Amino acid sequence: MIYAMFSMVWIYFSDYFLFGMGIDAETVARISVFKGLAFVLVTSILLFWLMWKAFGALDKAYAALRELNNTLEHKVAERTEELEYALVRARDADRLKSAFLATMSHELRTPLNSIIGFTGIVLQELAGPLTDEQRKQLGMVRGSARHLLDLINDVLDLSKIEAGQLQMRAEPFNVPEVIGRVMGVVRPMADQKGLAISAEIAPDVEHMMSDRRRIEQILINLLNNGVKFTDHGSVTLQATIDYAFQLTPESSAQKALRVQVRDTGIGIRPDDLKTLFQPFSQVDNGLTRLHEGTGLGLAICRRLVALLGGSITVRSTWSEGSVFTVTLPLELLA
Amino acid sequence: MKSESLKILIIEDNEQNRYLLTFLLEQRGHVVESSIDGPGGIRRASEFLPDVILLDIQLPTMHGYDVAAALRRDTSLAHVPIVAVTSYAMPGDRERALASGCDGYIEKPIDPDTFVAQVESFCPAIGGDLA
Repeated sequence: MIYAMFSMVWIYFSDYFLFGMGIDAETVARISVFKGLAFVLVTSILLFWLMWKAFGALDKAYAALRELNNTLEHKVAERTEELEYALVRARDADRLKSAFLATMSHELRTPLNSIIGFTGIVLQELAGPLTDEQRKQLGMVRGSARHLLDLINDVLDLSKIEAGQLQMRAEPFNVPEVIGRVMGVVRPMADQKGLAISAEIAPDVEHMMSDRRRIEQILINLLNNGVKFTDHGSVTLQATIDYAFQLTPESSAQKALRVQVRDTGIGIRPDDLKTLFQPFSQVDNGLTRLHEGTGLGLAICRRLVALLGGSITVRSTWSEGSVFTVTLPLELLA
Repeated sequence: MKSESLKILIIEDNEQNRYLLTFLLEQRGHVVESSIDGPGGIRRASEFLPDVILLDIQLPTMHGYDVAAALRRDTSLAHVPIVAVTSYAMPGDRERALASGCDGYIEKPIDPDTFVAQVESFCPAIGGDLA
C-alpha cells in the first residue's frame, strides 16, 4: 500500500514539476526515462531495506524462540532432577520411619523386659521373702509396667498401621475356639468386677480364613472396653453369620462373621460418638481418666477392621450401655 | 515332673536382661553361660556345646539372624535348638527368625512365670548326665 501511494505521488508530482518547467517535449521524454530509472532504483532500495529489516526481525524472533526452547528444556531437566531427588528423599524418609519404628520397638521393650521380669522374680519370692506391703507395692510396679507395655504396643501398632507396615495374614481357624480364648482372657477382670460375661455363638458360625491374631486383638479390645466401662450388669458377645455383607452399597455381597459386644455400662453421649474412633479420645467428660487405658484401642480396632475388609459400628444410649458391631468377611482377600 | 538340668547358652547384649534370664534359669537348676555378642556366642557355643541356645536378635556387630545361620552351619551344633528371644518389632520378624535357622521364638517382654517352661519345651528330654 505504501508502495502504491509512493508511486502515485511520485508520478503525479514529478510530471507536474516537469510540465511546470516549460521545456520542450524531447527533453521531457529524456528526463522521463531517467525519472523512471530513478523511481525503480529508489523503490528497489526501499524494498530491499524493508525486506532486510523484516528478515532481521524474523531472524531475531527465531533466535529468541531457540533460546526460549533451550531455557525450557533446561528447566524441565532441572525440575526432573528435583523431582527425582524428592522421590529419593521420600523413600529415604520412609525407610527411616520403618527403621525408627523397629528401633523404638526394641529400645522401649528392652528395659521393660527387665522391669517386668525382675518384678515377677521378686514377687515369686525367688529372691527372698517379702512383707505384705512390699508385695503390694511391687504389684503396683508390675501393674504400671504392664500398662506402659500396653501403651507402647498400641502406639507402635498404630504407627505401623499408619505407615502401611501392618500386613494381614490369612489363615484358616475355628471361630468358636477363638471366641472361647478371648472370653478366657477377659473373664477374670469381669469376675473381679462382679459382672456377668457370656458368649452366644450361632450354630452356623464355624471356620473363617482371616488374620486370627488381629481378630483376637479386636475382640479382646471390645470386650475389655465393655468390662472397663460397666460397673453393674453384664457384657455379652453374640456371634452370627451375615450371608450378604456389603462393605459399600456398590461392593458385591459376601459371607461375613458378625460379632456384637453389648454392655450395660455408662454408655456414650451422642456428641462423643463422632470422635470415638479417633486416637487418644477416651470420652469421659467430667470423669477424665477415671478409666485406665491408652485411648488408642478403638482407633486401632477401626483400622484393623478396615484392613480386614470389614466394618465396625456403635450404638449407645447414655447411662444404659453400648453395642459395638464388627462385621468381618469370612475370607480375607489378599 | 521335674526336668533334667540343661546346659543353656544365652546370647544377649543387654546386661539386665542377660542377668534376668540367667537368674530365672539357674533358679530351676539349669547350667547357664552367656555371651554379649554374636561372634563371642558362636565361639562359646562350640566349646560349651549347650542343649539349647537363647538368642537375642537385635545384637551389636552381628545380627541375630546371621548368628543363627552361622550356628546352623556348625555341624557339632546341628541338633541344638536355637530359640530367638526378642521383642516383636516388625511384621515378618518371627518368619525371618525361623527361616534363618531358629527353632522357636519367645517374645519379649518375657513372662517370668512361664519363661523357663517355654525354654524347656524346646528340649526334648535328652536324658542322662552331660558327659
